[in-house]
Amino acid sequence: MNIRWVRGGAIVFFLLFIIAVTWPGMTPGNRIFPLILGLPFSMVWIAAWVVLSFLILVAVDSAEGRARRVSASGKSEDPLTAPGPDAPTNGEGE
Amino acid sequence: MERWHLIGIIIALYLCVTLGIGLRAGRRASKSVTGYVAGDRAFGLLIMYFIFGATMFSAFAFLGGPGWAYSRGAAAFYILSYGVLGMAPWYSMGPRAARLGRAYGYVTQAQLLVGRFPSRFLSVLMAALTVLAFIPYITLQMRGAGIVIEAVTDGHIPLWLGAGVAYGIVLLYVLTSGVAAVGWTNTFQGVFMLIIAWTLGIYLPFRLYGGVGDMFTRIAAERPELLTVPGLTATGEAWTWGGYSTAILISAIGVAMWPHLFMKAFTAKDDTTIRRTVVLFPTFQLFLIPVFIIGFAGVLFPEAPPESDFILPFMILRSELPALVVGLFCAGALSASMSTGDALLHAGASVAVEDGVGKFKALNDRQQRLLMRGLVVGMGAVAYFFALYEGVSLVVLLLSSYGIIAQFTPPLVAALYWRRATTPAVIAGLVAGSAVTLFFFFNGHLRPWDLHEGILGLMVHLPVLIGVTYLTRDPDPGSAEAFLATARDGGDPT
Repeated sequence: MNIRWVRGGAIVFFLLFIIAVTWPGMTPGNRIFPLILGLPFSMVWIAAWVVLSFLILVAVDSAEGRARRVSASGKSEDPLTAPGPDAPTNGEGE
Repeated sequence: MERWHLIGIIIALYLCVTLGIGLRAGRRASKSVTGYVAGDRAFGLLIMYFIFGATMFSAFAFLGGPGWAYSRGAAAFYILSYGVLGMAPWYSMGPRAARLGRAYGYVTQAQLLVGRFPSRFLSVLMAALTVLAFIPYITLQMRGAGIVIEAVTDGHIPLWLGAGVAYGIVLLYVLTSGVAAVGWTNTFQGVFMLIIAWTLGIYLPFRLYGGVGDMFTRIAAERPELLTVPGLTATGEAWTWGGYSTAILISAIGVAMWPHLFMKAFTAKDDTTIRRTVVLFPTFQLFLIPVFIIGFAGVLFPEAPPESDFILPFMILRSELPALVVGLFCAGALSASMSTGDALLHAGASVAVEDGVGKFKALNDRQQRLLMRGLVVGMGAVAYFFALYEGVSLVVLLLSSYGIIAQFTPPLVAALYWRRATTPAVIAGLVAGSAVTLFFFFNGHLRPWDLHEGILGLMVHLPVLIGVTYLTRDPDPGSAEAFLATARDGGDPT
């Protein structure tokens, strides 16, 4: 998968995260029942987004690592000075 | 032997181990500013993980976190929400800052900013704001340590002595070993905090109410308003969605800009270490779940503490727990306090020397380290003084400092990503944003929809930054180009 799509997807995910834990996006998750593992649903809702971000970050990291290796081998330079693919010239970062 | 003797012995053991680790840590670091402030840029993943985790979760997490959940209910969930949001951008920003640090020799945040936007005023302004924001923060950590020790020893070790001993030890290891001590002690303290929080978070509800689910079912029946966002305010009224949502936003924007955290980008061994630290950060964040459970356990507790922040020590002392558990809890709370306090003292002194004093007087490497050590003691003494003669205003100061620290975000993002941005625009934005933040802090009733004053500051900051940028011209676009190329690719700036 193109690394730009991965980065774009990650940015979209974290924007969704912000919406989901603030007004008004929090509303669907903002209730007490059902209790999950004994915890109120509202707390689990937020914790689930935290766990999900961990999985997303792991996926992004492995995709970035692959892209770095490809660009390093493609240009056959010293991998330390090869341009880092995590640095788009026009990127805002995620 | 009386009960508090055993508790005291456990605390003393914990403090000895921390001191030992702290003193040992510095033996391999070089005798240089880079060694003292940036750990020779050699920290691996384990230390970086715990530096970010343990530093971010201060005494506030062990005392304030349960205190919030206890008195304000789901309002506390905002703390669970912002951490990961604040750290995620670091996946891209951290390595950029680190590459610039390696290439140009930066060890502080302001050095990076001034490297891109040359201005002595900017450097001194950042240094002054940093020290101003740090003093109340350190004071609260010290008080936290003193309160816990006083509570668990039934007042046999008063606040002044407990805080004095705990922070005397912090001073010793920060003076000797610099950031290496901060890193290694945070690793030990971080492990300790995690174990204690999860153990107590599961043990207390079972012991008191028969289980986590049983406890929340009862709270839902008796105090349902505590279990849905946005929870309550400090005075017990319903909090507003505007206040809750912007508390998350401003904290997410500001958290990684705290100088004691930002500077740690310069301590990492390589870019991969920073990226992995960000990837793993959410796992540390989840430690807030047991912290909240502990606070909620207090809701149904038959007695109430004199102040909500004391709910945890209060419950622990009245639940007839074994002295060993109480002692370990206390050590966990001290870990949380000291792991943040040491980072603050160290970073505050480093920033004051590198970005403040160093801009007016040329100092050699040895003089810089000497002055930093002097300032570590000086800042510690000022904070200790305030810790003993406390007023409520300190908590208020700390909350307002988040709005100011968040104003560091646009300049640093511009420095790392935006080639067009100019020095006058960055200064104008920072001054305007900080002024608006302070205005709404002192005139809170004028805030629309209860929005956080820092968010209002940013609403002025960003247009000023962008507007002035397009009205002015960068006198030396080549150097901005070179700066950004280094951020992107690393390597030699020349």
